[in-house]
Amino acid sequence: MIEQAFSFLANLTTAELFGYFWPFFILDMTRYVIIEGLVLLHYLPKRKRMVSEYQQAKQALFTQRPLVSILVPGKNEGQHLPKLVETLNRQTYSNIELIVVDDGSDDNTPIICQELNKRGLINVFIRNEVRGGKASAANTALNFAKGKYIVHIDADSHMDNNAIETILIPFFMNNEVGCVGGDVRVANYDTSLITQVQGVEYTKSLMLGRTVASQLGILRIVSGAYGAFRKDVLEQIKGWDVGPGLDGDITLKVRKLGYQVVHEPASVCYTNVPITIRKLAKQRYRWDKSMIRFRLRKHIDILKPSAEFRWSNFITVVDNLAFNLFLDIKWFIYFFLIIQLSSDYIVYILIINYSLYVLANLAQWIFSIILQKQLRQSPYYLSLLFVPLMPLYTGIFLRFVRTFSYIMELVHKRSYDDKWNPWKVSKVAKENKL
Amino acid sequence: MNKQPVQLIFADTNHHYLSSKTNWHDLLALDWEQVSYIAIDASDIDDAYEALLRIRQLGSANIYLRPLIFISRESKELSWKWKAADGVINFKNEAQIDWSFWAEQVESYNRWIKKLTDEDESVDGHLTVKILRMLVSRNLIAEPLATTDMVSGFIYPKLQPFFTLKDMGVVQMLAYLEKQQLLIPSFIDKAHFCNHCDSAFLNFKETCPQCHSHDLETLELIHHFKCAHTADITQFKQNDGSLVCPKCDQTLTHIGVDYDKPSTVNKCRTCSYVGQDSEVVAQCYQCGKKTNSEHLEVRRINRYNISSIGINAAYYGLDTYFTNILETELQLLSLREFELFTNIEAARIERYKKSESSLAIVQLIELEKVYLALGSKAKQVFSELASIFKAVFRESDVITAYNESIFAVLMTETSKDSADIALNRLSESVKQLFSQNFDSLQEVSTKSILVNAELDIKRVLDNFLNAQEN
Ligand SMILES: [Zn+2]
Ligand SMILES: [Zn+2]
Ligand SMILES: [Zn+2]
Repeated sequence: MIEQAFSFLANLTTAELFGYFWPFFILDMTRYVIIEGLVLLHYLPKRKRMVSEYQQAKQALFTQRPLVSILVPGKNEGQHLPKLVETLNRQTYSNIELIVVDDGSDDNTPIICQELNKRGLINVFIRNEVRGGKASAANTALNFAKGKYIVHIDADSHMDNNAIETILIPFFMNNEVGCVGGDVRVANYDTSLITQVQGVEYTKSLMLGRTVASQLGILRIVSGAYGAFRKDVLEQIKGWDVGPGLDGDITLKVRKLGYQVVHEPASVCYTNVPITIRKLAKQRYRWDKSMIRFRLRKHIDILKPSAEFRWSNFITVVDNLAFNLFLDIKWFIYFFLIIQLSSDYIVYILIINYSLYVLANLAQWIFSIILQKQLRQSPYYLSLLFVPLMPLYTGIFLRFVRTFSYIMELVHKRSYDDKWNPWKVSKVAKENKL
Repeated sequence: MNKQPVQLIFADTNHHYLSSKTNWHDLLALDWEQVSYIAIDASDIDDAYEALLRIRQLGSANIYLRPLIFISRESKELSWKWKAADGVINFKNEAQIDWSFWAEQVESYNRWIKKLTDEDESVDGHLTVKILRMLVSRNLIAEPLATTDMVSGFIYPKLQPFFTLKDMGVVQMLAYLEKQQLLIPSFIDKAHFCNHCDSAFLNFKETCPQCHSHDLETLELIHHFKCAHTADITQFKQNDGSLVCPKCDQTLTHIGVDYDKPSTVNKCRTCSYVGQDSEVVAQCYQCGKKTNSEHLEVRRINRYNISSIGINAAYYGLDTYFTNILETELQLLSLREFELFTNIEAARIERYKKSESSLAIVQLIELEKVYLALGSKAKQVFSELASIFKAVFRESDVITAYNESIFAVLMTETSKDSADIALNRLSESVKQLFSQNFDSLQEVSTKSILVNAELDIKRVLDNFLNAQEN
């Protein structure tokens, strides 16, 4: 069967090849292999050339030694905090304060936090008896932050020892930078097959994808799990808005003010990812719904011509919309056409398509290894074993979840019922069409 | 009316006994059974209270239980001291006073006193028993009264006069009686007391847990639902008192609908502390010492009814925990049985003149404080004490309890010298027990007497008690 598929492929003319597999060649290969490859080709030598600038920025950081406030808002996250606190204690940059806001936990989180607070490991601990949602908790922490820079981090993550130092350096290399995204990797990659493929996905789309987007100036998201902000910029945009998807939202707001948003792959933080397919589907459903809400509803103004119009912002949103929303639609069209036109070869076409996507993923995997090697990180080579599963994972599983959530969000505005927000907040958000 | 503070109203004749020459000595020599009540001139309430205090603190039930009435021309009764008496007579013209009114009112009290004193009055005049008797004779419920006159903050006006400065506070004493199931509490209030001086007058202050400064600012947080802005209320507050969100310029209308107050946060103005912890420190008005509020002594302030055990104890004296333990360990005799044994022994010695026996008296001073200090652990201490008694005295010795802290032991075939040696050993062992195990002193006073025909045990014990109290 596979042999037949490849002899089918070998007999195709270039035009036929293109005709059968246009979605791959026009969109995916171009966007994810060619563009990323080219950007990396430009970025890696540039990063090498800029070593002295990098050193100067580092020196400036350690000379000025600004206070950095680490904000950790969350609910029922107490169990994760001791580990986070431990990694904060080992940071190469030490002028930091840790502010933890407990957003109405109903487990032993307050007890753990009070203990850490007493021992001086948490500088400010605030417990909100009534849950107000993640944005409100983050804003509470921001209200008491005294640092010049703000690092927002999820409680269930931990960091490399130089993470705080490396996430701050971009601010010192360019004062146009308003926020810096840290590189989130999978901490529990060796737990299950599901976490293994997420491990590959994170290095591919977060590390590699965002580094590239950052280079192109179209980075649209600074991960809520780990990102750094200039305090004055956060104050200008008055903190976080009602979630979900508040990390993407705040990044766009920073961009709208004209600041640069960059990704720093050298600053690594590890987070725990869902270990079952069911939990993973739920998590992505939540994330994807918020995409629609923020790109299409709240920040629709970015697409309209106005005084504040910026091409980079426009592309940021369009790129995101195109490659998430419209590619879904494209797939349906493609399948419809294939079935209509060449139902005899459908199996071959599927096998070849799958192989092509495996090859594309392999290319991205190699890029990510090269990037990690240059950053003097130690890549997890065994993850290569899971690369052949990636088309199944990203192409089918994630796409299915995404399409489903887009439909739900567009039709029902379901994200207002997000269980991560208290119902009263959701109600107000819905009434105000946020 | 002249300056003499005391009038005595006689029950039978309704005759006023009043003399400016009356002194305390003469007063005590009266036939008190004939006295219906004592009317005390209360034109100066403090003097009147002093007089009342002296009577209540006497040892004889016939006197200290006698009804006391304040008489006063004015009717302003602001001080709690007015409530210390059994009643108050207000008059405009002394001649118009109906003295018999109160004689009738207090008749039941006097009947009870008579019943008590007609029976064997062998039981003690110890404070705890006096309190119980006061409550039973008056059918009284001990009601607390908040006052600024006493550092304890609360007072039981009718019971307070029984206490001297040396005694423990009324509140603690009543709690002690409650533990012994002599009183039934019903909750009125809870109060904090200084650990150092028992004062109830405390200034509670929130202090910074980091630098202990009092200069803490307490900020309410406001969360505006619509824009998720969450900050302290000062950022929202307008001059006209309304709340406007600084992020989205919207006026906040209803708490719970468009905004809420998720928590309050303390900010120290001395150091950089921010958080929700604050240490509440209580500074004592009396001694000035500061105590963390968590370590303050908290007591329930109760109203007390007497229990049936309490009524019994008012008649027959108090069987405390210790006496109970001694009873099981040493087979205590009742005072009456003890007297009988002693009389028999005295007669035997008198007759054969071959041997000597001694009467030993032991008082463990302020033993009730052990109970208060140790709570349920007191039982162990009392068992230890009982075993000391057991070790010092012999099987053939006979023991009785005069009250909860005074014990009489008939040491047969024992000279006074040997008795003294034994008592010395007892004292030393008791003191050692307390100093080694509880780091506290337990005073013991002892006395030994040779048993002879003239020995009147009750008198000896009374004298011993009086000697200790004076
Ligand atoms: Zn607002
Ligand atoms: Zn302070
Ligand atoms: Zn004091």
